[in-house]
Amino acid sequence: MSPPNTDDSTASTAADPTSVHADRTPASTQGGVTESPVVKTASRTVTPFVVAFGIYLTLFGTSLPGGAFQGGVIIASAVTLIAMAFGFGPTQQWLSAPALAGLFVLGATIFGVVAFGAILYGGAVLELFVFPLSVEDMVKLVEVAIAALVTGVIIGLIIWLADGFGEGGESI
Amino acid sequence: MIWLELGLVAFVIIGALFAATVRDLVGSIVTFAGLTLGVAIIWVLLAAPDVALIEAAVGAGVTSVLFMIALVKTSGSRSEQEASGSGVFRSVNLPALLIVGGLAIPLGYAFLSLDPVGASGAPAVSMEFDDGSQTPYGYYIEETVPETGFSNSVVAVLVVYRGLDTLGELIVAFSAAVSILIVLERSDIL
Repeated sequence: MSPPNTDDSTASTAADPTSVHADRTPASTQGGVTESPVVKTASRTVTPFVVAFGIYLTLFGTSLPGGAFQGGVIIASAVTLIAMAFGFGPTQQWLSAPALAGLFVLGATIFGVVAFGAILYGGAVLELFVFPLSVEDMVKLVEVAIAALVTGVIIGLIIWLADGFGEGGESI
Repeated sequence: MIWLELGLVAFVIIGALFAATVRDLVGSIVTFAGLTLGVAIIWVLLAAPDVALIEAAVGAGVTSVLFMIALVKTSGSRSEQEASGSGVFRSVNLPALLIVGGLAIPLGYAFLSLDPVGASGAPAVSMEFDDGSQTPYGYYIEETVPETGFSNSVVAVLVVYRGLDTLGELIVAFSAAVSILIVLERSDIL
């Protein structure tokens, strides 16, 4: 996956004086797209490291400070950074909305299966000690599920709120 | 070390006052993000790096972006600034100040009645109830690392012992995302 190419949308937004947002956003951020190549290049460069840090926090939360909530929010903040630099509209088109919704549905499903699967192994709900895998592996599975859910929810909140009402909503 | 902590507390308080009174709303949001980073460093100094990560990522990052989206979606910074006069700071609303001050008094009283950080008699770290039975906190502190093998007992408590609470948190987050889709009428996704 590469960040969205925003050249076309930038040109069309800037050339459209009747845009609803033209009179109430500063010119430098018109259409939510900063014109600065420094911001675009910096966010392009930083994003892989931010995502890697988020995955690291998620997977190594059992032995080091961190955890799935932190990791999920940090992965989502990388996508938010891309959206701030390249515009919410292009990022919205770049990210598949059903895939984003599928991300948090997947996280909820894994957590639910683990929570109630413990009953099949003769334990109570969410009793992680009864599974054949070690507790650490089960916790890492749950952590990945939590991170997927948090990432999907946070990205969705920001991207969809910025996009507005309806399928053809007016994006920032 | 005490000067670093005092400086951070002063930075947070001055930043909070500035964020509450400055007329430019974008400046207010940026100040709020900055003071939240100060709060995150205070969490690190209080030996709570897990909370510090959340504070920095959610408080300074995601919340600021949501505030910014709300600002652009509603009034915009310029028109609001032109409508309510000039000057860097806005005039203080006296009834609001009285209400906030009235809330600050019980909060300050509660803060002063807390045990010192790391005190052995504090309720959060007491190992036994008065009748001699073990408290849940005492169990977590003593048994988490040998029982699970994790060196970060925060995650162990969150997922292994308090999994139902975590499940509840996730239900809240899931409901928030689904509600957003319903409110925004995104029938193409649901």
